[in-house]
Amino acid sequence: MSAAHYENPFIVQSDHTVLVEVDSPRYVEGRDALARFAELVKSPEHVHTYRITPLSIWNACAAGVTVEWIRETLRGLSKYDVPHHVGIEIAEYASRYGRLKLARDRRGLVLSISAAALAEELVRHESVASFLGQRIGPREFLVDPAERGRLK
Amino acid sequence: MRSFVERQTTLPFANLFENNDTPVYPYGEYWRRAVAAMLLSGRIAAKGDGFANKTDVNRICKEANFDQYLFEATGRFLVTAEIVRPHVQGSRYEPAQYSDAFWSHRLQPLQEIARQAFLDLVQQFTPFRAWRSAFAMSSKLDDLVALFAAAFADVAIPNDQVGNPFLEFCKLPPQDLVDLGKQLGLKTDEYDAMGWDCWLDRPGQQALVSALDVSSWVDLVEHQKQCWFRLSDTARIILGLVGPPELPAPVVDLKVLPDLCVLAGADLPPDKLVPLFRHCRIRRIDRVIEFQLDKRHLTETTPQGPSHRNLREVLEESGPLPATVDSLLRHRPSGGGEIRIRACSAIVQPESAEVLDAIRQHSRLKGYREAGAPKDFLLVKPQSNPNDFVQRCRELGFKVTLLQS
Repeated sequence: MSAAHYENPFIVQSDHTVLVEVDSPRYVEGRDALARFAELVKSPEHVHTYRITPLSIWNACAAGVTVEWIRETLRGLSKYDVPHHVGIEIAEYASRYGRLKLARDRRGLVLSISAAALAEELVRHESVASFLGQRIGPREFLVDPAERGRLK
Repeated sequence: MRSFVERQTTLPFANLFENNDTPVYPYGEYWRRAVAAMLLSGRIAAKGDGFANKTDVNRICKEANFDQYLFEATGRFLVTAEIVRPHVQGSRYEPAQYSDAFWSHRLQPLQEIARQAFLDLVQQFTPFRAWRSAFAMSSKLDDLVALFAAAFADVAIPNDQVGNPFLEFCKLPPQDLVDLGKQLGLKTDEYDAMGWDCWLDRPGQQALVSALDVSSWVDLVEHQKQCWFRLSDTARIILGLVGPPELPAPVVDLKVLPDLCVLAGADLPPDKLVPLFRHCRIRRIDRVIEFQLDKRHLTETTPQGPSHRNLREVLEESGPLPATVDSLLRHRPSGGGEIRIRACSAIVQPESAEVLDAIRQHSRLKGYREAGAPKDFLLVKPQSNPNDFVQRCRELGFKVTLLQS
């Protein structure tokens, strides 16, 4: 039987929820780490609930947090094994970071896409295509500033 | 045999599973334990054939946001493997002969009962019109699956033509099959090997695949718009082809939170898990199962069933109860009461206005109620069976007196 680390505060569920035990001796360390890559869902007295979402991982990547650090933190602070697919999905979420960039330059608001295949996919995507303006390069589109929020 | 495998359309596992997970302990998944606990909780009735009532399954799966098809398949396996069984005198479930082996993850009995259950499932899925010279129990089809898994050790086959390779495989020279069986430690003889092809006509192939699926002996993976079939790690462990993985650390947390939420590890023993599934609303099924204490739900279940522990007793094992939970359980309606029923007319006379109201409001009883009953009485709908109403009232803790016509 594999060993459990009952003094650790995290229980990572398979739906990306992280339960954090407030009474754990490593609670403060865990809370501070989780704040960087997960969203607080609820915080009743003894067990707080966080959720790892694509947006929370995107924010973590934007703040310079690496996937390895997130995985290592979860592993190091979990009572039980972290579900295998959770680690894979975190890496998948993180890989999305930087693939699309929306920046203003002399041409206006430009959406730059990292890969040509992704650009083609977006052009054919029903809900995204309507927000894209003129195609100014194989991987670049002009975007109407009024649509910026909805496109994001 | 090697040339036979090479002739088939196959794909190496490595192409299908880039991030190959370590195998899970057979039949030890949290959701399987949750299904067993739900069956034992008394919230699901058993049909005449022993399997779970679909309406009850849909209701509980909707509450728990759980896949009803997975529930039905898992429930069928648990009943067939005699881990749970329908109660002899009622329509509910109770622990069966192999319940302990399942709850305590004992591999050897699990291997035996899973193989028996697989054969039993083949029999169940075989159309009764299909002629067979014997029952599936004596067919040793589990040995055929073991040989097939050994021959196709590292490759998957297309799912849409999975029956044919089984049929062609069992037509290989019986001595080759017996020799491979000996290498695997099987006691297959030539007579067994020669009898397999009669089980693998078209309906037989479907029965075999369905039994594999319900036993969780199959992994289906989609790759480049094609579905691929491989015999799962569970099958390989149960059939003795590979050793079991390390048993994961048991998740035995039990926390009662002030917001009336109860967190219970899926590895808790059934005497703790089952009352929670019975009395609480199921919020999420995961390795730590989340329940919600709810006044309305508590009203609809009896505080203590004949075979269930008291909810308060279970919750108190986690430590002192938060004031909110303590207050809710303290003011819990006692449930039950007495009603008298005259069978010929199905007029129900509850002992008091509270009991009358409880039946009117109860989600599992109000469907029997006919409008237009005299004051202080209830009428059972003419289309409903009064005996079902009586049985359900008794299960829910009402004392029922049948009046003479």
